Amino acid sequence: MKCLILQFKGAGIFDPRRSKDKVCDLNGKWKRNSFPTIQVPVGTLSKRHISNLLHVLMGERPSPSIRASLIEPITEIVTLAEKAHVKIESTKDKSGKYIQEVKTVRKSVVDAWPTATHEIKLKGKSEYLKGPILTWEILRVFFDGTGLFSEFRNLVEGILGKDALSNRLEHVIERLSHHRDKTRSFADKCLSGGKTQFGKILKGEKYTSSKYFNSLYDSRDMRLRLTVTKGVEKIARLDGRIYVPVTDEVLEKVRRGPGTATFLEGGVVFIEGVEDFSENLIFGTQEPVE
Amino acid sequence: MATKSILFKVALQGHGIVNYDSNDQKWAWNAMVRNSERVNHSNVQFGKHRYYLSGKDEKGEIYDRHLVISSDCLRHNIFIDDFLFQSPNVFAHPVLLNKMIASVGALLRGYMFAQEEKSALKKKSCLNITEAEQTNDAISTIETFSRSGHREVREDENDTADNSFFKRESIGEITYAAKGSVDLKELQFVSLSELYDRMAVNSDDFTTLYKPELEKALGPIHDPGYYVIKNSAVQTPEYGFMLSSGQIVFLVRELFKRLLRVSINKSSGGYAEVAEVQIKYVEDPLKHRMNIDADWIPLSDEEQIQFDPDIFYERMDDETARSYTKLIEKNLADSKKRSKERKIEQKAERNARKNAARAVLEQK
Repeated sequence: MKCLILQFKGAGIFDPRRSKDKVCDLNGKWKRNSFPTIQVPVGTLSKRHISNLLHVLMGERPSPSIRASLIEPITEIVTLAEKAHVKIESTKDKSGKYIQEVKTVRKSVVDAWPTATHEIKLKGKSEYLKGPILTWEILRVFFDGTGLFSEFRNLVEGILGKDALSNRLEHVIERLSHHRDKTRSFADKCLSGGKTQFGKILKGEKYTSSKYFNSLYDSRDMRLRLTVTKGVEKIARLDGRIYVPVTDEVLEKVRRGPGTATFLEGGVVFIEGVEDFSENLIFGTQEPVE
Repeated sequence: MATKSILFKVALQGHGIVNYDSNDQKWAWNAMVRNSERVNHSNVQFGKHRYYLSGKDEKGEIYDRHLVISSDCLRHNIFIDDFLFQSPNVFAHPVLLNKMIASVGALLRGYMFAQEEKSALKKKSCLNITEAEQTNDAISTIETFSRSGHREVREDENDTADNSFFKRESIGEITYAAKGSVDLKELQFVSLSELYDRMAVNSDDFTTLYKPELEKALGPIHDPGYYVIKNSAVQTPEYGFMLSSGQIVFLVRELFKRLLRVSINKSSGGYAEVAEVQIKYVEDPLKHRMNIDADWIPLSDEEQIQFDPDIFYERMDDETARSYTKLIEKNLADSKKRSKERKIEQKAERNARKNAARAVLEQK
């Protein structure tokens, strides 16, 4: 029997106990915290990872490991993966775990509102506003189609004078907070007209349980929606080899495939060679886990 | 023989570190270096490293450390002129979205747009690249730097100075090597169907929005149809379109054009740029391998690239495809019906158990 030797490099694996990164489930059938993750012990890999890798090398489509899908794995290839042997060569630290590094990851858009806040002085008191700085242009889009924007400009001009319109919006809001008696009717109009966030800022009222004022960026208007779709996550990078006992038929199928594949998060797999299968060849390897 | 994929090796040269990691690297650093090199400060910038056990002496194990540029950093810089950032807002605007996904950069780099209650659009990248690892013997050290600018001071602190000291790992002249491959199978087919979880373009937008944009870059595009992978055990057809051989060669040239011009610059003074690229055409994956020294071609200009790409997909006639699709739809409907029936049965069983338990309680 022959043995197909595959070399993988830079295969990223998240620590499932700590990772916030879960399989994307847009239908919301799973609660984010209870989503299933694959627990892989140090020193080996999951059979499903190897099975998907072999599918790609043989020119077949991989099937998702956890998520429900129409694509069923091919039984013969799954059997090959079960008989594979893994040798991971990445250096471990003194506690026996792989050294981790920080990686930029894409977050699910569902959970991507920006959480950064910045200071704004309302009536001389420090308050915090969620999201980036408010500008006149943002306010114009926010009030688009309501006529409230020109009304607000007239209000500012009436209270603070014409020059105030050339000031930064947040500075104007800070100055207006000293004239709440004059802005109250406009703020009420915002609240009743569905422009709650701005009305609350003008009135200086937060939602009961919130420490911050909500930004205009978390509006339903897609022109204003600002989401942070990147985050950082810790990841271990694995290098190593996979030994797969194969028949000549399987090798012929590999010969017709692309000869290269991705592996786990950002890893690359190359075919290193084909040798006669022996116990010496797989010395020091581990079997993959379920 | 036709080319199935292209392997490449890249050598980079530069000065200083261009890819930093988090402060948490200090735990790994302190575990791997000797006492004199250990760092106890918390404001230290470390580069990304790989550690290798190189020997042992009376004081313990000795590790070599190599600086690396992560594959994500390389990928970001290869496509830096194509994508400044990815915004989910694009997903809400069909014209902007199709302009973006019908670009050369998007086809090469790949993309994923997912949103609640909408089908996700996804195209895998044909480029697989490893991290670039240090190849020379330069040794990095921890140096002290100063920074000027406003900083937040805690109320109980008296220090109101606007400059601060911090430590950063630094190095002089450095060379790196990376390797990778271009998967022509991934590149040549664009899926318009959700069947295999990889719909790259909404088929309703194909004719009006996507095709005209793509044709500006690649010339005439084939009409979509039903395709299956050649020699595959799965014969379920997938709706999509194939790129022509000429278009595949053009896209691969565009990819290597970007790779040859990679130059990573940091404002802190470090830089790394591509010094040498070698490629190998893979016609037989078991023969043309990364670890064999033969058949490597030095690449100085993308116009040198010339190959005949293998065709991994074959078209299925519409009649057969339709019959398969009908069968899938029927099986899906049957499966849903069975699942519904099972749920009703389970509910009936649960109710029967509850009633039986209630009857026992009443008897007692």
